[in-house]
Amino acid sequence: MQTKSRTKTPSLLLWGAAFCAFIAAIPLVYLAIRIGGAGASEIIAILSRLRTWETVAISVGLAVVVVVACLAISYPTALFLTRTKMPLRRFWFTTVALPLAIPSYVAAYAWVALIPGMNGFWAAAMVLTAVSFPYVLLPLLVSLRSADMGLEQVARSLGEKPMAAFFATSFRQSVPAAAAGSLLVALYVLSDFGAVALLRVDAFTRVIYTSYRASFDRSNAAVLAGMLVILAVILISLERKARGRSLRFRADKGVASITIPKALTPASSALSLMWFIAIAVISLGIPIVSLLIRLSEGTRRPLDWGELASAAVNTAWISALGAVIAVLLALPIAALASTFRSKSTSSIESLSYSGLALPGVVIGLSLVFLSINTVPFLYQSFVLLAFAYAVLFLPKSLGASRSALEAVPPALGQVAQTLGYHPLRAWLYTSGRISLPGIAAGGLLVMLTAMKELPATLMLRPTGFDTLATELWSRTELAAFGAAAPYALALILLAAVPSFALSRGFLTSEKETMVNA
Amino acid sequence: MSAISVRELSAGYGGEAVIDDISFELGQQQLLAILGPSGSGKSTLLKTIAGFLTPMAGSITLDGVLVSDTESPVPPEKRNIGLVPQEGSLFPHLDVSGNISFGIKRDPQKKQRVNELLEIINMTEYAHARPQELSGGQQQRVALARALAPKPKLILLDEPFTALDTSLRAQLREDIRSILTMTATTAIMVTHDQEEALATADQLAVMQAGKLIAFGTPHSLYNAPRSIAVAQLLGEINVIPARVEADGRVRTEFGTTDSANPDQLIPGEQGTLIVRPEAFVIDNTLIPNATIIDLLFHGHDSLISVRMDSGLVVKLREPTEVSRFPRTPCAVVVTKPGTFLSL
Repeated sequence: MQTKSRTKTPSLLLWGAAFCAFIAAIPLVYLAIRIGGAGASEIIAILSRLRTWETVAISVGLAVVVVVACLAISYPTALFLTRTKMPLRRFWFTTVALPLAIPSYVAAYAWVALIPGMNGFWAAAMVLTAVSFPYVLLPLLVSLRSADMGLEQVARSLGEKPMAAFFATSFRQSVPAAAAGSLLVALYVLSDFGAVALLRVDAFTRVIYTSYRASFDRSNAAVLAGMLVILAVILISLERKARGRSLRFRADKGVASITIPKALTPASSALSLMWFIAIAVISLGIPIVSLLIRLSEGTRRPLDWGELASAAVNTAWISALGAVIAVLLALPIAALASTFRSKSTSSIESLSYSGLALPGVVIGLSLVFLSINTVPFLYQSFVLLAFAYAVLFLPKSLGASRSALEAVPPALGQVAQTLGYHPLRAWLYTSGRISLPGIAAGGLLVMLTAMKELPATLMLRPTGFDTLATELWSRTELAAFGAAAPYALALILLAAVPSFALSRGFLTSEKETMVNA
Repeated sequence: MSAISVRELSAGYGGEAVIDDISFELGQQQLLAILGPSGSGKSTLLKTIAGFLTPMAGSITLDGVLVSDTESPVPPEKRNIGLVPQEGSLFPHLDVSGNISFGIKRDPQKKQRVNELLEIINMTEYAHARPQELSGGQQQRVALARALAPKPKLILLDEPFTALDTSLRAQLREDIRSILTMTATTAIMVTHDQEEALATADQLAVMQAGKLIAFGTPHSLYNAPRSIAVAQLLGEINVIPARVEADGRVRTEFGTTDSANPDQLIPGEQGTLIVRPEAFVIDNTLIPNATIIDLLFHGHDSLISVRMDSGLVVKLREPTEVSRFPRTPCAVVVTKPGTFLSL
């Protein structure tokens, strides 16, 4: 018998978790209600518009192009890093994860600030590739590093040439990891608002936002948002499948043969260096240099430190509030999912992951509808904005809380009970107490991510309430690139914290924290 | 009065019984080992006794007080039963004394009791050590002290040695036995290791597929098992065709021998004689009646497989003073009584 208890689920916990999951699912449910309210004929009208399908084609096309580009970058990069003794290998290992620290709209802003007038599909594809390729590269690195070289050696000893042996063994083992990473990238591209909006590509998120702003056609926004959610759900379920498969590959026991990196000839060393420098220049160098140029040029009006400080303070506290709500919603669900496994608990858990399938634009839209129609006093209130953050980033908090709680052996709580502690007190003094750092880290991650959030913030913020992201946005819209630079810099510094922690996690413990990032 | 009495107990998950119709009684200050393969329901039994699982039928009485029945079981925190899980169950955020005092936080004599227990487990100098700094054996001793602190009526040990190296196991086994004796504690230990069960327990319960298939002292269950299944769980056996003679002795191809269970025999009955490998002896002063077919050298003894002239294959255990070789003839005789089981 395993120690993991399958005893009867305490009903209080079950109901608490179900309540929290329901709260988290409100935006999704209300979106469905709103779409239903539009009426069949209107939905059909929207679905038969050519423009609707253009939007689908643009979004899907963008996702496909970016995924292909990410794969094309990631495979050679990963092979150089795992299989060769290329120059500065350790340095590049850390550097390739850094682009994750640049929010897409900051990267887009930096490019536009450097080349005013740059816009369109291919510009967006380039910018999105530059900020999202680590989502493919990092799992690929892990997969290729942990791939059992024994198999490749067996293939070699059976007479295969090096390349053929690689494709027959390690490459196959890396496919699920690459697939999972690709689907994450596709999800990222579909949900991204900032880059496509700044580069004027009529993808889903931008069209939804503009139809919402042009308030006469809100049914169109709702239906498009519904279509986007469906696409996202498909991607997520595919990603789950791919990830499950990639885990199975690593589940084997025994000691895997360690990769022995190959020495490179001077010519191929130079080639590898050029490859990495090119990647670093496009994904990091140009955005940062452009930002610094704008920063040093200054603006006609000197930087208003008070304005920057107040935006920073606003950003910090509203995100912190969102993080607190996210943790409170996540805790009962995490406690339930980490201890009791059954059909009802896993459906509660998957319900609370709905944030993954809801791009910021969609949550913003749904909560605008909801507040205007049912709770007008919440419209454009701090509470609603913080709640939007909580729902959007609940999966992060849930993932962190859950793995922290799962790391605590269930026997500890049972021991505390036999020592005279009431179950709830036993939980607080053991699992709760021991997993506190992990739960808090999850909350911090939510806060840091919420600080960069753009579309939901734009739609839900109270009038006159500015965050770093919205200040950057409004300055960029006015082509005030110099004035926007300090905000962009502040955002990059903020974003660097979690992605640094993430890349360290990947390179040291090689845990799969990817989806939670 | 018995320390614990379990009557017709059935329990399980989601309406499906994992343990079925279990009954036994255990005397004060005794150590009971529950032995069974994984999935036999021994952990479920332990959880039901601890109170984490409500019985589907039957009852549990502790020191004469009913604690579990199908109606209103006493919750685990009110049972005064100590629990020692598998290794790694110390509270990682507390030091050794913090762990031991966890269940007696409100006791005014807390300090004194902790020191007393540290002395009993022989770890006085580790009072402020963190669990991570302790060896596996030390961790389990602290876990036992933690369970003993509130002076429980009963201690439950759930496979307490599984995670340890073989060398540490024997030592910890002795330690735990002597601590339980010193503190005059009644205990129930779950294990899937027959050697551990035989060596540690005063009483032995054997479980299989959710049923209690044997209960008794290790000595009686090893030497006079009631079924082939029990005999096999407790060690290597030989199953030899046999018949009960008119005088109550048992006849096999090795001749006529006494049985360990003479009162259960009916003359003329056909059955099998269960004979342990150590009951056979090779005596080459006699006429050979077998051929050695395989040898397993264990250091202190060897397990030898022989084929009798009749075709029957027998395993026997012999001290290793004499060198034996496969494919050589030998003479095998039975020197100790086996157990007769009717078909």
